[in-house]
Amino acid sequence: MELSHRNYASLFLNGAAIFILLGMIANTTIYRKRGRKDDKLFFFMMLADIAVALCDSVVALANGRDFTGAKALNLAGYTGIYLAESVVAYLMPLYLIYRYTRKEELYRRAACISIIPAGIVFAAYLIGLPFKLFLYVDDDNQYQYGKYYLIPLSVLLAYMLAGFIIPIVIKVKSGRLKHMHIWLYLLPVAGFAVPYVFKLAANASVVYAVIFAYLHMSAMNEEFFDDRYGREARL
Amino acid sequence: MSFHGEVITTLYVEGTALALVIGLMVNTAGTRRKDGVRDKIFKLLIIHALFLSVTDALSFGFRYQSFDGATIITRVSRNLNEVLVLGFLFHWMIFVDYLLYGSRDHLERKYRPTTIPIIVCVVALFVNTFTNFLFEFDDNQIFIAKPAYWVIVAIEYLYMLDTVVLLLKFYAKSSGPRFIRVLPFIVPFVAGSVISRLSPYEVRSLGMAVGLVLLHFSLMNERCYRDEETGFYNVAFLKYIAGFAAEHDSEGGCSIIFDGAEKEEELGAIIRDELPGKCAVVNMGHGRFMVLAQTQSKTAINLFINAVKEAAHEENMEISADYSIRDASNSGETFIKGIIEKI
Amino acid sequence: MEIRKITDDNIDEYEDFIDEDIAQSIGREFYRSIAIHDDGEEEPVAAVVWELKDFEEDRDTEAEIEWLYIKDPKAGDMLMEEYKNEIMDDEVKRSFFEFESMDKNSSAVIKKSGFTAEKAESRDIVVTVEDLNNLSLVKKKTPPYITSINDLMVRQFRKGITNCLFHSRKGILEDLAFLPMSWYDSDVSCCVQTDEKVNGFLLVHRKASGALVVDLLFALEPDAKINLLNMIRYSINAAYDKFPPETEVILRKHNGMTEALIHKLFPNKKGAEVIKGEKKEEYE
Repeated sequence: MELSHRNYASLFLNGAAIFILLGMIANTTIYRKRGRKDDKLFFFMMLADIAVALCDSVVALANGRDFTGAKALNLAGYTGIYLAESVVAYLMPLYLIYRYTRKEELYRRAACISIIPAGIVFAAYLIGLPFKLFLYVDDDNQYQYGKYYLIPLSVLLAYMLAGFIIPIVIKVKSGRLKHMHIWLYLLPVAGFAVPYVFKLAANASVVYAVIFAYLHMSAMNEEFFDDRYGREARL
Repeated sequence: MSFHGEVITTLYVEGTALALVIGLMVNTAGTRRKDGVRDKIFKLLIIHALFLSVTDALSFGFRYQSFDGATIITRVSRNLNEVLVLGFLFHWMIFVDYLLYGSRDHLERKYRPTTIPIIVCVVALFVNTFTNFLFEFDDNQIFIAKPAYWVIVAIEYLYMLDTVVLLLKFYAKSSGPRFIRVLPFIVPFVAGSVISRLSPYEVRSLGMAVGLVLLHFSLMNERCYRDEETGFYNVAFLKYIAGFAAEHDSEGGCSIIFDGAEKEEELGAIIRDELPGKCAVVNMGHGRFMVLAQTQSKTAINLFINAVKEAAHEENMEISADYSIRDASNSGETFIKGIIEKI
Repeated sequence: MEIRKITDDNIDEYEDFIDEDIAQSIGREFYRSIAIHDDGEEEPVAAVVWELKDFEEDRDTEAEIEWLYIKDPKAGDMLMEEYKNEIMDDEVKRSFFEFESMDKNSSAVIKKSGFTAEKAESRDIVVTVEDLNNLSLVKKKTPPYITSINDLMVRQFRKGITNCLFHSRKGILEDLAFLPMSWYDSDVSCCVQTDEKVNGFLLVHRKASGALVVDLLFALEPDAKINLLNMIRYSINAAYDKFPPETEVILRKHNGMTEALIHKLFPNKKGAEVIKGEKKEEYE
């Protein structure tokens, strides 16, 4: 069976996402060296999104095919997408909280509380596999949603919504975040919604990659070192 | 109106490209760099990419549509698209050259003649809108290239090849640190271009957008080592250079420290005016600047110091200057670290 | 016998003896000269002029003997003794010379003081303005941004020289930093300006004897090679307009680059036969 247009779309977009993410990883080395938590969180978010892109590409190549191991690959890729997305969903609000408030106590509290639902979703995807609760692959090697797929998905969407609301709250409350153009993030978010109009699945990895690119662009517009001359730089 | 698979794929791809380019536009508005030429050309490239995504989507989006106007929109968009590609590649050549040499006079001297092929192609594309001698579209709005079209494609690839050759020649001669990586732009752009030629999908704009985003990251990374107000390097650059010198030990070297006693702006302007080529200037703060150069000639150093002092004297400024020349027994890293201790 | 230093204050006294081109150089930053006189006599019986090389650099200092005059061998020995004392103060590690010819007295004295001497090909190629004008590269048009150094203000000229020195380029001049703009022929010497900074020079000096000598040929990126050719073209045209076609032009092969360029322009030209010699200087 030949690859469909949808599969090609997946491959192009995942390829673009991986390129952007690898480029960002290479270009944020200096950011990680300065020793801030948000830079490290950003790094792990990018790694998780690369995992989403790779798993999605595996699904694009294996879905509906009948070569040896195609079904196992398809299931592994499909599950991998959601596992990696739960990591992204967990890290995103924490990143935003730390970056825009720099309050250690708030960050620690949020990390401890929010790991519980994210952890449960992560475990649920794995445990639910043999019972086809949330995700499974049918006899024709086509990926399918389980009966209860909306439950963990809602949790992940709640995290993403929190990620959207946090900067708005900070911007309104403190008047900061000059460099963050919040309306811009509606563009990639539309990348989740618009494909459903054409009865297609959204490409999550490229949507995340675009969001991360925006986040990094706004981070780059801020002062890199705390003093103008970079005297305190740790490199 | 229903869409075929390859059209939907292309539209999704163009939408992604557009989202990236809009993000770039919004985040590059209002830069604070002293040297605006580079930023202006980069913004032009972003604008090209924006309109390229739109015209790509329009020239592809009406495939298999039969309503009146579908052909006209497709034809006009495609011709405009080709003009924009040529414009993008021409500005890209200028951008890379300016990035490497930083010379406006050189741009004018070298690139004025290269506008001629572009002007000819633009005129040809305008004529093609009415005569279809370069390319045309069938009843399903599918692109059909004619032999003459490949001349335009060849010119596009020649412009791209020119920048690659320029980069390779420059990198072969220079041994200093490279903050700005241009090749990460070229790879996705060429990949997108090649896939577009060999497949029924149009992904060139996505390649272009991804490349521009990566280039933007690279340009902004260099900014971490710059003092925004003067455009010179900051102290963090020295620390970076110490690490670089440890790996790539090169011959020669001196450092000259000027102290303008808090008159940072004035002294910075004088140093910029008198600065010989192949020097890096670090703004140490409080009116102090350090010039790093490859020369070990005391005569040359004294000539430069005297010129700066003379210019400062004319501005009613009294400045002091001190220099140190790298000893033959010192490694580059030791020399730089010795300088850092003086800060 | 007495030893006198020849300086630009007393050079007039020696104009009948000293080569006019060498006399022109007396007083330059790294030129030194001494003469031996019989007591009470105005005419010298021996004299030497030398130039220090790499004096202010980290490399070993050397001395090139530019001119030697020996009338009396005994005076010649005294001259070389005094020469050694002078160069010892400047920590010269090696002396060398290149002369078109040497008379018997000079030859004997120089060998006695420890120099080698042998015939060799000169480092200088001598051509005429006519020869240069016949080169094919002259036929093309010179762009308007190659201008005479006349168009520069002194400050711009100084900045250009500083630029040269920062790139470790000084042509055949040890004292490039100290020579005024007026040392060079202002019509034939030219420069290239890019973004209001001088980033290329072709400086030509007219000797007292009338010969032209290329003192410096230098250009920086961008377009270094193109600018070098343009400047050569400009200067050749200017020289052809100003000087008779038989005017000599001296091109010195002082490094690998210039040697390659001269060979490319005049593949069949060779330097004249000269006498070259050198000596390692050791001090007690």
